[in-house]
Amino acid sequence: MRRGRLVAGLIASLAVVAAVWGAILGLGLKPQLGLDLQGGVSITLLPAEGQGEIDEGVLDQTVQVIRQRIDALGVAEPDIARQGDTIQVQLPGVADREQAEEVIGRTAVLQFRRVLQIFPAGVEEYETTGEPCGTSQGAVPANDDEVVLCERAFGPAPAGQEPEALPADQWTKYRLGPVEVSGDDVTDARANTDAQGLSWFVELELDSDGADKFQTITGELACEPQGSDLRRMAIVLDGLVESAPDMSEEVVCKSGISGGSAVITTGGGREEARDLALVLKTGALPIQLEFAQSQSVSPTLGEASLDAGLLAGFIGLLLVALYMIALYRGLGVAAVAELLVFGLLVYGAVILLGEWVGFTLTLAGIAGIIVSVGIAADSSIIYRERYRDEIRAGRTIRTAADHAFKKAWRTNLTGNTVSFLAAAVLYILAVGPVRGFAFTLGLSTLLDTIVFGTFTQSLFGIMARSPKMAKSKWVGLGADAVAPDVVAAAAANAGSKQGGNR
Amino acid sequence: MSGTIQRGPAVGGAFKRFFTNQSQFDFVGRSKMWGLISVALVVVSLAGAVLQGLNFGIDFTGGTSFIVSNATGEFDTADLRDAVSATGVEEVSAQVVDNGAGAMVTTPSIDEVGGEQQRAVLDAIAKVTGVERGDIDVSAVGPRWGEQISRQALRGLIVFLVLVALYIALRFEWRMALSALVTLFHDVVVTVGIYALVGFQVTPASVIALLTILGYSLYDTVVVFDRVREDTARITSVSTRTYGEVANSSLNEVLLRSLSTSITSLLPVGSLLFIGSTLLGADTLRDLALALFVGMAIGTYSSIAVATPALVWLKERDPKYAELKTKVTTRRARKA
Repeated sequence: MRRGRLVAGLIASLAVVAAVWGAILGLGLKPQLGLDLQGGVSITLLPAEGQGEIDEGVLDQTVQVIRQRIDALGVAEPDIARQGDTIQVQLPGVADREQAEEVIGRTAVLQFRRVLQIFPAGVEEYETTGEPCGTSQGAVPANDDEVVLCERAFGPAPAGQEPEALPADQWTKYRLGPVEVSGDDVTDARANTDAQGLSWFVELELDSDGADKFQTITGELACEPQGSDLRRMAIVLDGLVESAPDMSEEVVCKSGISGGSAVITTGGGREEARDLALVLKTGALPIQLEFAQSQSVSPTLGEASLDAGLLAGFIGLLLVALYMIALYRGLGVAAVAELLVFGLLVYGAVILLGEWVGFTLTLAGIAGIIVSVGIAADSSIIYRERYRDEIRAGRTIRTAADHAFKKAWRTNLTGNTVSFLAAAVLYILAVGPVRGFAFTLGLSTLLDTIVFGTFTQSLFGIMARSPKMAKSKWVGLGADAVAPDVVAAAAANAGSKQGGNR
Repeated sequence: MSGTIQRGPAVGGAFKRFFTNQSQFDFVGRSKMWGLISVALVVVSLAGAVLQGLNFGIDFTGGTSFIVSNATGEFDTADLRDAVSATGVEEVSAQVVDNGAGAMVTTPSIDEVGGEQQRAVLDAIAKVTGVERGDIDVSAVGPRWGEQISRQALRGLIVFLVLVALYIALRFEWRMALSALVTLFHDVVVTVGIYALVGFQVTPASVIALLTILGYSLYDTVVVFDRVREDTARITSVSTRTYGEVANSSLNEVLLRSLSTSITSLLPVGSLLFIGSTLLGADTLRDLALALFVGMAIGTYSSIAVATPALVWLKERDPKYAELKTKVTTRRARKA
């Protein structure tokens, strides 16, 4: 390879490092820290035993219900994820673990109540009616009382996106009557569409007890004048109004809807119907859950852990640097430069990925990076050992460097493929903290190969092409430093003045 | 075994030869000895695992740990233990660190996570240590969590082994894949054995680390095999050295690299282990580092003393190389 290309490679790789860190420092980016490093509550749930095989769809529904309940808590950036049948809830910054557990573990309560009056945000009595919205935190209102409850309000939905929730002071307030029908009476709810697929609705099924109560209340509501708020029935989940459908004109006054099945037309699309069906069906969680693990970390403990992890990484890097220099002299210094470029790229990637895809750095993730220091050092070692072999085989410094790179590159690819496979399998199959570990390990392995193919190759190649460096015994490139026996043999054969065993 | 033919006479003592990659240890020739050592290690480990059993942490057995930092009250471990035991919880273990500013209490599984009893324990600890109940860090684990993690780890292990065996078989050959798997088996069993015999606590983090070790041990083995393959590719039916001899010199050539790599990997993991065990609550770090430390050390040993001898054993059963071995031995016998 020509020297010019090596110099270009070196400059390019340094430019990438500079660009990454320029962006990070310029924009003042910081890594997204996981719960164990910034403090918060983390809860892992498993379906309780004895429920047989649980369907994926049911688990997804469960996750959605939990998400709704957490939303009611008002936590910023909750992370609720399902992996297999494990559900993990991460609540950054939440100090009260007990409250979080209570909200998640509690059985949700679904109620049908008569609407007495509606107060959209901005009307005169809005402020004075009931409590401000968003403060009830999922408390369940008593059955027999008249209550004031809120319905979340959403802004206009940008095309193809979820509508954004408006702040709690713009939600709609409802004054509601006592509970007429409770969620226990619901046997099924499905989203469905008419034959043309144009309008979506929810089919509701009630048990016989619920059917009677439902017929009575709908009969009464149907007697109210068309267009009145009093014709509406509110569907309340955990103290929040989810929907308040109007009685259709077809419902006859006093006779109501009989037979225990009803159709609620949502007026919206598939999503809306499905959400409502979910609310109706999941008055209780679709499955019984069990706390598998729950952990709270205070911000001080988190900070101490972060410091400890960074300190361990720094000490590890320092020790490795000393070892490399002791073993390879000047080539070892070059290896330290390679490690530094690698370290800067890995930490930079963690920060940028945090910004772009929300990757969070956890304690286990830091461990993954520290482990990868060994892998990166190995790449440098393999190259140098290969180089020594080539020198011993009698090659000149320059060709030895190029030949050694080709061989070391192949070894690096093979070895890193195995490491990467391990990380990928861990990432896909593992739960919780393990994934953070696997992610940083896989990322580092990838970056190691990239750094090796660019920076390492260029730096070594340029050193090997410098006559000054080749001569210096402190750099350790020359045959006398690498293979005294070859030099000795050559001296013996040719009677050269360069003999001797140093 | 006689000296190699590509090289001039080795210069300096054994130590110097090692650092200049001129070592001539006969790993393959002594494969019987290595085999015996490794079999003994595996047997002892299995016996340890069966007789002694593994010491599972609360993540597997279920339990709760409470961590207090910035305590203000005057107390010792006995005070803590008594206060918590008074709530009716048995088998309480307590620990005071940081000159009384921090404490850790561990109890077996308390009814249900977040239940009444847990609250009582929290109150008791808060009273003794003088902190707010909400400032106590709690980590509670139900009894099924560990089972869940182990099941997933096992599934991960199987998928990983299949993928890696395929990769090595395609990239190299099936005999190398088989030798690598034997080596892996050795590593896992011995690591588990050490955990059983020493009584280190097994946590989900150690299970994870075990999977990482597999990746690492394979990486090491693959690097050695890469070299063996490169060198043995030049063997023909008229070669003067057997497969085993060529493989052995490959091993010696990568010996410094293997040890250097292990050292550079163990240094950061060692510092992680050291820092992790001095810090309260960084259990994940410590457990990961400990298992990695043990496993990496074994992985280095096995890539030299198990993987290549096993490969040579398999290879010399291949008629092509068996014939070569007979030829080389008879030729040498004739000369002598």
